[in-house]
Amino acid sequence: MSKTNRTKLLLDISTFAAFLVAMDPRTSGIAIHEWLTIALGATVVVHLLLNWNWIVEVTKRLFAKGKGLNGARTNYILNWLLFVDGILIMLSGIMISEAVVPAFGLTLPMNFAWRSLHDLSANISLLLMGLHITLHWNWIVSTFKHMVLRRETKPVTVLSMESKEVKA
Amino acid sequence: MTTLYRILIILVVASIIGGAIYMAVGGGSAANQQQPQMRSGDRPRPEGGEDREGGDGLPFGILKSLVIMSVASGVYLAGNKLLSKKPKPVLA
Repeated sequence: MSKTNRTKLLLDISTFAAFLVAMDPRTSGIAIHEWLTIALGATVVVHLLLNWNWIVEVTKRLFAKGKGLNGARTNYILNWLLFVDGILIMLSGIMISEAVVPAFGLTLPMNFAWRSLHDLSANISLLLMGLHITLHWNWIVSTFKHMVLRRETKPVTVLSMESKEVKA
Repeated sequence: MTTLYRILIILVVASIIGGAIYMAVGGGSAANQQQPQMRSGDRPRPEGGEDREGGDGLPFGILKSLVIMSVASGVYLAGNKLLSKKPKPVLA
């Protein structure tokens, strides 16, 4: 197994665990909830960097002719939705922040709309994350088996394209 | 250097989307005036109004999140299965 795949899997598992904790501010407390979410933003950037080739390849094909894409189109759109939703969560979270923003000595105008948006986008992110994991399930299982059980498995391409496969 | 450019692209795209959301939501003063303003101490708290400093029981929120994600996954897979079913050939 390539080192990149191992890094990807470890990062993804850690990010997912942090995501679950961040989604439960009642248990973790508001300060952990906010700081953890800020850290999650950084891990998402690393996640995107590790999958940069796939993003570029699918984007090119999507705008070139739109042909040759199977499930990659669904995956691509879903990823964009997840990205936009993540930005919405971060932005609305910052606007209603009780720990991070005050820590910098800042105060932001309060607005109930941000609160509602924060809840809504957080709920949507659960649905999108569920779909995101579903679409990558084969890769996750395959890489996990390969890494933990040291079992030889066939390389899995995530929602590959017809003419040229792009490994996740 | 390439990585830095890529990070920059991600951040710029995120900033553009964030800026658009901010404008759309009405982060500007005009929209804020229409919103009911909160007094200090009325700050909105995510998921519940109780005083939460953490460690107040079992992580039911995590379980709830997992259930919601599983349901979304199940609905997607079931829908996919239904759509991919080929109709039986009709004998003339």
